[in-house]
Amino acid sequence: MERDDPDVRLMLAFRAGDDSALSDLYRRWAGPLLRFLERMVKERATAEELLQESFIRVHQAKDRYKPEARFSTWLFRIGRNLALNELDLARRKKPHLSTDLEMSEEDARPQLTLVSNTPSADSIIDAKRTRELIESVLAELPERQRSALWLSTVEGHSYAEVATVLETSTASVKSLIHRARATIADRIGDATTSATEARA
Amino acid sequence: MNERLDYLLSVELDDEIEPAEREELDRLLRDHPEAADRRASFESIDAFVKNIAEQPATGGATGEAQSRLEAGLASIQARIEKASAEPVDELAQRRRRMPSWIPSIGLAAAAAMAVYFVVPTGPKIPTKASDPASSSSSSQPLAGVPSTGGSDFVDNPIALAVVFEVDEDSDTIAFIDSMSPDDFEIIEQLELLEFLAAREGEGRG
Repeated sequence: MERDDPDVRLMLAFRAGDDSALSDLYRRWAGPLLRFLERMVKERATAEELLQESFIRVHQAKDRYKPEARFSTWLFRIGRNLALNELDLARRKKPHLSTDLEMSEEDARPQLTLVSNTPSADSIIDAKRTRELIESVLAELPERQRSALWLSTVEGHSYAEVATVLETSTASVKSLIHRARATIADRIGDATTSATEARA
Repeated sequence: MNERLDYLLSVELDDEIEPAEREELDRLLRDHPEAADRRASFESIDAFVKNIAEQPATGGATGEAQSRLEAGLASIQARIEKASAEPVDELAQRRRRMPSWIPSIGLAAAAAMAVYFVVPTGPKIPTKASDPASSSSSSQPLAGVPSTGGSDFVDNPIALAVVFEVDEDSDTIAFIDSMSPDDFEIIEQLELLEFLAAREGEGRG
């Protein structure tokens, strides 16, 4: 990894004893990591706790840090693992609650619930509704599909970087992302068809 | 075709498409005009997902979110400072929890070793090893191992004085004023260790 990467420079400075570098890294990455964690655990307060814990782990592991990958890849991997632990813990506490962690990648077809089942002219899918629809489907996707799509589309990570965060292969990432997009596209198509039929 | 088309469109959208896959996608788009709609749908989804990312998932205005992030940073710094201070405090707590007699064991053991290795054996007194009745005992020096006068050492009153045991109930150290045949064996083994250590030291020198 090139030393002219600002994150790598900051991390190396932090490792060398410059504590202010951690604050700079936090200010650069807390927002993106928080929104990623929020999508995973679906609770703001929990996501904030996980965010803090992620940076505590960065602090604890600073001596072991090697600039072999982007800092953000390393950070998101830490954050995701913490979030998975949190979700697993929540599932153990409340075994009656199923989470998307239990769903297989293949059979996971989110069941979309529209805000209103009453047919009306307003039920035609417009931009706002599509956004809500996508957000709903996104939340119901299997965690790995959602995380892969998010890291690639929102955070701009390459497939290789997404594979590092998800601790899987690049081929698997390709599959996860295309399945996520296909699922969302199919749901939008179904909703649009339903709305059109209801109007007719 | 749909599954494969979705895959190709997806890797194309992320600029991760291989040259052979590019050719295959171009062919599909040419042969199936509806594939262009699917591509537009995928592009639209990405735009919406990026738009969603701009908004907090569970509410909170931008200003409020920013101040919470800053508060989070302060919390992290406080935790790190606390963690940095903890090892010293923890050590102090452990010391406070430790029974007062435990350090004395270490001191007593060190004293015993010092006396054993430093103090001369003193006037030699006939021992059981020289007793004809026990002449075949293990007190005979090992072949090739020079005698250090150890078989007489056990009767040295100084050496006897540093053998002790710890009474855990009363937190006291009690000296033993009598020795069993096993005790003699142990001391002879210690003499051998002393010899080996001395020889190793000479080797280094």
